[in-house]
Amino acid sequence: MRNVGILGVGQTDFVTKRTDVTYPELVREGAQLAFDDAGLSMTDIEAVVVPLAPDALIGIGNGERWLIESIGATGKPVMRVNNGGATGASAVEAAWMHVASGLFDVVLVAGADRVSESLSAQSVLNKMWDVAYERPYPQNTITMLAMSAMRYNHMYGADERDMARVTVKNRRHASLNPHAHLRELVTEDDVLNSRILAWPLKLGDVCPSSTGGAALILVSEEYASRLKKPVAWIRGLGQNTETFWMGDRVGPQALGDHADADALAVAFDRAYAQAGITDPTSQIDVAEIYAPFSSVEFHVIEAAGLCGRGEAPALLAGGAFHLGAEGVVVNPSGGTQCTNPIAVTGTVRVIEAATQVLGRAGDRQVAGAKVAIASAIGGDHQFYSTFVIANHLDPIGHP
Amino acid sequence: MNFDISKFIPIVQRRRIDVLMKERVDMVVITAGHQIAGERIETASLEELIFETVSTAIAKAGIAPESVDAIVMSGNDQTDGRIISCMVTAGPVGGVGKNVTTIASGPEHAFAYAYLRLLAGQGKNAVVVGWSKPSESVFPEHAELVSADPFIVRPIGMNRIIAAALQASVLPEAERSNAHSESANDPLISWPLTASDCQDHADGVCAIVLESREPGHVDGGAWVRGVGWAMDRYDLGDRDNIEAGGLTAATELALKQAGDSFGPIGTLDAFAVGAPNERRLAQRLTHLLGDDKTESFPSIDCLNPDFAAGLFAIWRAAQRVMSPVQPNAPHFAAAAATLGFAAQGVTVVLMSDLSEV
Repeated sequence: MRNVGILGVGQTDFVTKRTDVTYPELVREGAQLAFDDAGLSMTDIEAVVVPLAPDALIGIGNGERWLIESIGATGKPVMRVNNGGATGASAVEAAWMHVASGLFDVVLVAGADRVSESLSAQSVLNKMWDVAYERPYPQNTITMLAMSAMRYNHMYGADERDMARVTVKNRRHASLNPHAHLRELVTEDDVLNSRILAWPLKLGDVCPSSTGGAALILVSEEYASRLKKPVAWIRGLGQNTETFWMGDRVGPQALGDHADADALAVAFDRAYAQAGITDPTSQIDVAEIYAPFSSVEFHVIEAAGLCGRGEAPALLAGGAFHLGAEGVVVNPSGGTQCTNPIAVTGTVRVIEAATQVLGRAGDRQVAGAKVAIASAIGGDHQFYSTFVIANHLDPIGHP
Repeated sequence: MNFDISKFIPIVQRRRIDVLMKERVDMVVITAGHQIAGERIETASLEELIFETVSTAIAKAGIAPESVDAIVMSGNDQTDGRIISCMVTAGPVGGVGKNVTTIASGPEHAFAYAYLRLLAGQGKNAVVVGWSKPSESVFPEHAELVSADPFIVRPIGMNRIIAAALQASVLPEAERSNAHSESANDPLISWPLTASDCQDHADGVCAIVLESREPGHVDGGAWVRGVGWAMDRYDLGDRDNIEAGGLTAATELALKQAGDSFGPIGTLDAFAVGAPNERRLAQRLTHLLGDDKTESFPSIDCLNPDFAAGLFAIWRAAQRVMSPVQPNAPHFAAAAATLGFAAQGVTVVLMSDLSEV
């Protein structure tokens, strides 16, 4: 199998709304940043993968066709991935396949989202559920994850203050990240006193609707060796799929449990097996994991094997997972909870992981980071995508 | 405007299939497939059709559901009436617990992606699924309309037929009218396309099983010798509408993989909206492949479920080399399909019944 690396990355600053650019222009912004970072131009790119999840949010079907000229992809192979919220990461996996197949040496992943362009993102997202059964509740991503949070708290004795601690950590991290959308520091009481959206989730627990673009460039080892530039290597990757039906994660016949993320754990295991990770707690330095709401971060940390089930809240309360703490730092960028441009959120997770292992993360840099993981979640906690990224191709050992 | 789109493709050292064969590296072969299609299927839901199609395809391939390594699928959210349609279809395709990827730009691209997965050594098999069931949509033309940019193309009421008509209107007269002309039984739909020039809306699901195998003989298999895909400019006014956008680039990419030993192709299945455009696509592709005597099968005589038509064309072409029904059946086949308004993108698939050079 060919080794595949990340040569260049780019992300715009994420905000609530951009009225100065169209969707194709926003994609171009992210792509240009990646070109500049890699020292390449579109002429060097052999194929393009576009992450674009609910295109209803940007108001145009198959928007990937609209952006062709904006990035200069006329005449090139272009395909679009849509795995819900996991799209941004699944697109990186798709680009990895392009290079690993041996057919391409340089592939661009470029996308953008304008979540707040729709008048009500949650009304749009309600339309992802079954027409007759779950849509009329009405189900949306907030009520869905409220159920998950309730179940997790019930199973493992966590509470709303535990959830608030996640927000406080992520906001502190985001304050150090110039690209992050929500960068203001908050206290636990700020979160606990914020408006309830769907108990136990409050405004302070949830992600924003973000607008911005992101891109990265994958290259083969042979191509990278000619450039002699530092490359973040994708050492392992995995995907897995959970049941669509919310009701199938409840009761004695359940395929899963809303408290846990067992299907995500399988996706991590697949990536770890490829990368040679046998003890995530000691072999990983940074985790850029997809957790749009505070409550989600707990079971993603556990699915990644960074601690046991139900242990994450107590570890966080004890100071773990913070920048500067011993052990794995979780979401030093502020994570999805502080920036969520849905189509490229997974791409940003991979970009942040790559940036960390290359030692280029500025104020949010985890000292000595060599190995990072990234993950994304799509649908109703249904599609999972995971990566192991390192700054070397040597066997990943123990410290 | 006339320009050689192939100049946009950088010349790189690509992995040629004939080199892979000499190295005994695994190649990709279509071992089975299944399709269900009808003008308006009211006896089964989309999910039921998908389940039946995929189940039948993997059973034909002799693969147990638990042994499927990856599933790549494609549909159109707006036509399906969901904003992330793959969520509800991931179950019927058998995706729970598996690697599922939705390639939303088109089922032909999903086919290309499954091929890339296997060349990359990610699993020994992959199932490609494409679907479309416009009969469940109140007004499928609306789904087409929202796929047009909101500033220029959408306000003029663009849809696939109007776009195809614009494309056909610039063809030389002999090419746009050699089959049909307006009559009482064949009314004009959008000049120069008459009713019989246009594929009707249709429902259907197509599933194709790809496997990674050592070069050799596979009973009833179609070896994938090359896959190329490319996009052209978005706006109709910005490009040469006589050509199917990206055809030259897509063909070049596919031929680079197939190597010099590929061909001559004996059979071609092409899909483009509108009979004149489809004839033009078939003619240009056979010319690019260096064989103007290829037998071409028009899709106009087949059911072409709206957003899955390209995968149906690939499956039709594959079957011609998988199950030869006549002594002099062709050894090499090609499929080509367009997607988007007036063929903004083209995919070309080259296949053969033999892996040997």
